[in-house]
Order: sequence, then C-alpha cells, then structure tokens
Amino acid sequence: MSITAASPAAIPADHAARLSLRRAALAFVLTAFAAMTVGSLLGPAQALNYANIDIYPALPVASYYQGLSIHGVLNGLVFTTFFNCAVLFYLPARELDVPARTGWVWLCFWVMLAGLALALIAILSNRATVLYTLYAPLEAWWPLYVGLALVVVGSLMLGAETLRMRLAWKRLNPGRVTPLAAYQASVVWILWAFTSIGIVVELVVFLIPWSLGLCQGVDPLITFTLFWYTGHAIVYFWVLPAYLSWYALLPREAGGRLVSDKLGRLTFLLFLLFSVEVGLHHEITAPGIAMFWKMEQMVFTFFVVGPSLLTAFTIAASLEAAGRAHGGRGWLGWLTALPWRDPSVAGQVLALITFIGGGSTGILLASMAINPLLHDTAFIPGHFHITVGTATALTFIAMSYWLVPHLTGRKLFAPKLALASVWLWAAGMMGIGIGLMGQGLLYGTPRRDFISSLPHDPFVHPGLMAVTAIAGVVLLIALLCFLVSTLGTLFSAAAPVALVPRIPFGDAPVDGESRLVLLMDRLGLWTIVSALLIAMVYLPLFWVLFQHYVAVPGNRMW
Amino acid sequence: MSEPETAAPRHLMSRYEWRWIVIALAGLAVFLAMSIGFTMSHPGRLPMTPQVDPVRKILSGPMFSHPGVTRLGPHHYRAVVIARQFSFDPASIKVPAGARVDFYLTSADVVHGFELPDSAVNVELFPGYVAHVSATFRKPGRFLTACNQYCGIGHQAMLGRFEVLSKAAWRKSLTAAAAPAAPAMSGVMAAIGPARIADGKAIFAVSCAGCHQATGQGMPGAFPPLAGTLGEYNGPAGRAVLAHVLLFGMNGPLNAGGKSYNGVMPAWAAQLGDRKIAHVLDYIETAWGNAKALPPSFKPFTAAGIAHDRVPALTPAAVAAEHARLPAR
Repeated sequence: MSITAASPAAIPADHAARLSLRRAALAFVLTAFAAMTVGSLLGPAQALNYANIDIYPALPVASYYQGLSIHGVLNGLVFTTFFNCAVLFYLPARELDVPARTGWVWLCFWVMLAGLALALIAILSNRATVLYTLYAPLEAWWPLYVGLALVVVGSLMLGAETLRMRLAWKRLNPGRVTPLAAYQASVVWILWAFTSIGIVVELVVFLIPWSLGLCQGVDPLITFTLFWYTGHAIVYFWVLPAYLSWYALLPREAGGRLVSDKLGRLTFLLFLLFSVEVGLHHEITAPGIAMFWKMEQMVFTFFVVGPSLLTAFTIAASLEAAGRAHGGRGWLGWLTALPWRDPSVAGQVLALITFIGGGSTGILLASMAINPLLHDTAFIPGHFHITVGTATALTFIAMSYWLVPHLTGRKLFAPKLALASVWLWAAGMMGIGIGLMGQGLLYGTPRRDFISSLPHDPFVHPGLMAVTAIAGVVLLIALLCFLVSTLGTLFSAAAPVALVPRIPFGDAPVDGESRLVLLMDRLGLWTIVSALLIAMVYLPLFWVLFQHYVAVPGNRMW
Repeated sequence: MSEPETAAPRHLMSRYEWRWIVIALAGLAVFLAMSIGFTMSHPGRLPMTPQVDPVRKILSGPMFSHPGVTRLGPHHYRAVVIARQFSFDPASIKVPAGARVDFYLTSADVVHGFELPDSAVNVELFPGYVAHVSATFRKPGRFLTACNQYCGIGHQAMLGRFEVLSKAAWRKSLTAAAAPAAPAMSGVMAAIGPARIADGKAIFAVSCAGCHQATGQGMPGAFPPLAGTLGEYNGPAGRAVLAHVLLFGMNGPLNAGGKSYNGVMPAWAAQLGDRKIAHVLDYIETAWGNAKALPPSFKPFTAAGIAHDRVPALTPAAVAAEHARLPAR
C-alpha cells in the first residue's frame, strides 16, 4: 500500500475502543463475504444454464430456481447490506473519532445475523424458492420474510447509531462542516431509511401476516409496487458506499487528491433527493398503473442520472491528477501511470470503467420507449452484473484488500493473487454483461429461466452463449483467488504496526466558508425536503392503487 | 507521499466541469424528450387496464370464459389470453398479417409475462388485473410467446406459439378449422366411452398439461412423463396410490422411465370433484399409447371409487412413501 501519511484520526487515542470497533466491523465484513461466497458459487451454474449446459443434477440444490433464489438473496440483499453496514458505520466512527456504543453495534449485528439465519433456513430447505424479488402470490415460508425484515431493521438500527455519532461530533465542533466520508455515510443512512420503507411495509403489513395464515391473500400489484419502491433506490444503497470509497478514499490510494470536496457532497445530496421517486420504471410493462405515474417517475429517473455524471467527471479528474503526479503524460498516459499493482486501486478503477457500460444501459432501460423491448429479458441480469456486480461488488472486493488487513492488523496475503482476482472479476462480469445483454437484446431470451432443461431449445445462440459460459468460469476462478488471498490474510501472523494499512482518508480541503457547503451540511433540512418529495410522488399513487385491492391466494409451485 | 503538483488549476477544472455538465444534461434532456414523444405517439403499446377484479370473477366473465382469437371487423381482431402455471390458453395464437390485434390478457394464478420477441408486445400479467395492449403485425412469421417472469418450477416450459399468417394462409386456416373426425376407439377405450375420455382430456389440458405437457412427456428434472410410465400403478395397490397422488399431491424425488425427478405435485382434492378425477385418470391411463399396457382386467375409475380413496386424507410425504413401496414394473 502506498498510504503512509497518517490522517489525524488514525492516531489511536483509545486503543481498546478502536479494537472493539475493528472487531465489530470485521464481523460485518466477514459475514458479507461468506454470503457472497455461497451465493457466487452458484453463479457459474447459472452462466452455464444460459449456454444450454445443465449441471444442476450434480449440485446440492433442488432446482435451478432454488439456486437462483440463494444467489439473489445472498449476493443482492445480504452481501451488500452487511458490507455497507461495515463501511457506513466504521469509516464515520473513525473519521469523527467520537465514541461509538459498541454494545449497540453488536446488537445490530446479532439481529441481522439472526435474520440471515432464518432466511437461510427457509431458502435452503426449498420452502422459499421465490427469488429475491419475493413476487406475491408465490408464497414463501414465513422465516424468509421475517428474516429479511430483521436484516433491514438491524441495519437501520446501525444507521441510527451513525447519525447519533454525527450529531455528537456536531455538538463538539459547533460551526464546523462534517468531514467528507462521515457526511456521505450519513446521507446514505438517511437515504436507506427512506428506501427501506417500501420493503418493510411489504413484509410487515402484507407478506408476514399472509405467510402466517392471518389473511387469505395479498394484492400482487400493490406488493410488487412496494417492492420496487425499495427495489430501485436500494441499488443506490448498494452503490453509494462504493462512490464513498471513490470520492473519500480512492484518490489518496491512487496517490492524488479529490479535485472537489464540494461536488462529493452535492452528488450524495442529489441522490438523497431523487433516488426513491423512480421505482415505477421497473413497472413500465405492468397493468394497473396509469401512464401518468409511469411518465412522472421516468422523468425523476433521468434526474437521478445527474449525480452519476458528476461522479464520472470528478473521479476521472481526480484519477487523472493522480496519474499525472505519477508521471503520466498525454491523453491517456495518466490512466496507465496509476498504481495498477495495488489490487485495491486496480479493482476500483476497473469497477469504474466497467460501470460506464452499466450506467449507460441503465439510462436505456429507464426510457419508456425502449424498456418494453428489453424488459424481463436476459438483458436485465446482464445490465445489473455490470452495475452491482462491478461498481458495487468489485469495489467492495478491492476495498477489502486494505480493509481486512487494516481490521485484523495483518499484511495482505498474496497481493499478486489479489491483483489477479480483480482483473478476472472485471473480465468475467463484462463477459456476463455482454453475453446476457446480447441474448436479451438480439433474441429476447427470457431472464431467470431454466432454459438448459428444455428439450427443443428455442434460445440457442452459440456465440453469446459461449461468452456467458466462459465468463461464468472466469468468475469462479476470480472468486477462488479472492478467497485464497482473504483467508491467507486472516490466518497469517500479526504484522508490525507500520506495515498494517491505515484508512486512506483523503485530504481535499473543505471549503468551510462556502454557503453552499454549509447549507448542504444541514441534513435535518434535507431529510424533510426528501420526505416531502417522496410523499408527493408516492402517496397519490398508492392512494389510487388502494382504491381496488385484489386479494389473491398464495401459491407454492416450485 | 508528495503533494500532487499537477492537479489542474481550479478555474480550469470548473470550466471543464461546467462544459461536461451542460453537454451531459443536454444529451439526457434530448433522450428524455424522445422517450416521451415516442410513447405519446404510440398509444396501445404500454398496457392499459380495463378491469380489476377478483380472479374468479375475471375468469368467469364474458371475455375470459372464451380465450382465443375473434374477428371484430375488417383488419381488426381480438386475442384473449389466460396465462397459468405453466401454459398459455390458447397455446397457439394465429392472426392475419396487416390486421390490428387487440390483446386482452390476464393471469389465473401468479405473476407471468407475455412477450412477443421482435415486436413491442411485452406485458406483465397479474392475477386480478386485465392488461390490454394493441399491435399490428405486418410481416408473416412464427414467434414464441415466452413467459419472462419467474412463475414457479415449470417457468422455462411456459412457451406459447404465435403465428402471423399471410392473407392466403389465413383464408386456408379458416376453412380447415372444421373439427377433425374423432379417431376410432377400441378395447378399453371403447369400454370407457369417448365422452368420458373427452371430458378427461379437457380437464387435463387445463389442470395438468402445464407441467406434464399435452404430449404426456413431462419436463426433465421436474415433472415425470405420463406416457409409457404408468405401468407401476397397474397392480392392486397401485390404483389407489394413483388416485392418492392426484387427490393429496406428492413431493420428493422419484424415478420414472429410468430418470429421476424432483418436483412438486399439487393436491387436487379441493379443486376437482370425484367424477372429474375419475375421468382425468381414465384419460391418462389410455392416452399416448398407455392403453396398450393396461391389463385385460382394467376397469374404468368411478366417482364412488375416488370418494372411497379420499378417506383418510394423506400428506404429500405419506403419498410419496406409499408410492416408493410400489413394486417396480
């Protein structure tokens, strides 16, 4: 690692408290990666399925769909939430350097772990094969719903603790602007509180009572709309911790400095304002919702592209500055001059590059004109493997290459293997993206479909299928490299303190005099504005939907 | 670490940044305007919702009690489609080229999808909601209607046929639509009687063919074939077990025709009466060449016999255990 300059927060004042914080953060990180490992081990079988090769008889799952449920819930919901909790709690705690209530943090962890255990019992026993989308009236066994609710509630409890720490810091530092990482993390926690309302209502008001037999049926469209209320904004909950790393940590890791602290704040604030009002663009082809609502939310979806475009500029400019400081010349010389040998930097830059494809296909999908051509085809999983699979997952893996050594007081084991893992991961995800998006775009191949079992397969397109299959295998190798390196780090001997990486907080100057920066720091105000915007968009919609409630009985055909 | 010296001066940075923001937002605004303009100028492409009601009410209503294609006027047709696990009703839709087709679609059970590749028709189907889209198909061709929303264990096999016929082919299909003569029946089938077999076949088409397929071939890995595999039920105990499988369902792995299957057979005791279960059993025992494997002593199933098999009620696991004890044939 190239981080040697100690930021003020990195000098331990209270060693025991630091140690217990690290242990708690490590518990979240390791649970996240354990979930990711189990979920990802099923991925290659799914990629082979899309190449018409059925290896499911050799796997310990009852069906392709059970495997897909495990993959979606563990990788999409569990891995992301647990890792986010570690980053969004630990970084502010260290940056603000105010005491955290460690007992409460551990309580959050155990609530979430209990939820994960319940969900796993349901899914692994093949009694909750409803995919991560939970679409009623397919009716899972109740522990899945209760378990997921506990995971969400535990994470919200941790968010509350982080926001409390920020307020405590504010009291100690009147008139000062919140440091960047703590500001961004606080914004993400507020956004997550708003985002989670949909799935919490869906679970607690509808699915849990229904699966316990307390009501006869649920409305499939209302539960679907509640799911997507959360379901789109949740992708920002997944990706914003990666953005946080790109803004607050990566520039320093790359040997440079964030070009604008102000834009780092503005970006996150815009996400807080516009992330939630966009869920309906997942329901453009659904009946029961008038065109007006769909169009309104399409416009908001275009609003939320703005902060990602800001990010593309600011991060690219910061990396360019770093590359030129390393001696890079010319149009693209700065890119090759970045410290590519550092697996953490290489992984995050690769995540950024692959995310360009993910982000731009996202804009296509948000368009009502184009969406019906691609909706529910293999294009969709292709799209989110180069968004969640790279921007989020690859950044998290790359972050772990300094974070796990930092939390455990060890040196990174086999850095070359770690470097190989991020390249293979990026290449594999690009392959999945190209293969699946191509199949969906050119041939209308349905998504989430056990096509390899069909006797006369109508979806055979050899070229793209080969790309998907090879990418699946490449990803498996990437995962193995990651596992060897991470387990090696965990089981190696403690390293001398000087060799253990510190948190690479950036040192971009904060313009504490700027009225814009001071205004942006008033998070209470922005919470109210965001609540009003969400209420304005969603309350009338739900009022209309509840005018006709159709109770449909449950169904378990899997 | 040394200070980065080469960072661009602040004013230059913000000038580039402003250029970038203006160009990017202008591009987005143009794309958004195109999306809205296209959507407004192509009505009927995204689903409208003429009816929201309890599922049973929709299915028994005037429109959905007769799924299929009807002519509304010159170059104007209506296609009414019900999606259910794991088939479309009707399984095959034919329309003439150049005609406007109004689709009315709904689901009888869970969320399904209905997509015609190479066209703009792509709708999600919710039980309790009727979706209505319109499209004109200019070129003759054959398409698959694939369900593209996960709907259960047989999702992948939920494929329908959609054909756009040239004018000449369409006229020909209208004259050929007269019902084909019923095939001659012999032996056991004659003893059961064509009316009962036809009734059993109709029930099978609605309740069973989604998984076991109209051809009785089942689906690899999930649903066992019924064609040529029912011999094990021919013994004295087998008859009651077969009735139990239909009445109470069955789960867990099983072998049929040398291959293993691990799906779920739902219980039909609540949905189908004794007579209907007897008729559908008579149908599967005689369809797809199964009649040839029946012993000469075979007697048709009766409503009274099924009523007897209903007591005591069994769990799906108990039926699986009972099934496992049958001697292999």
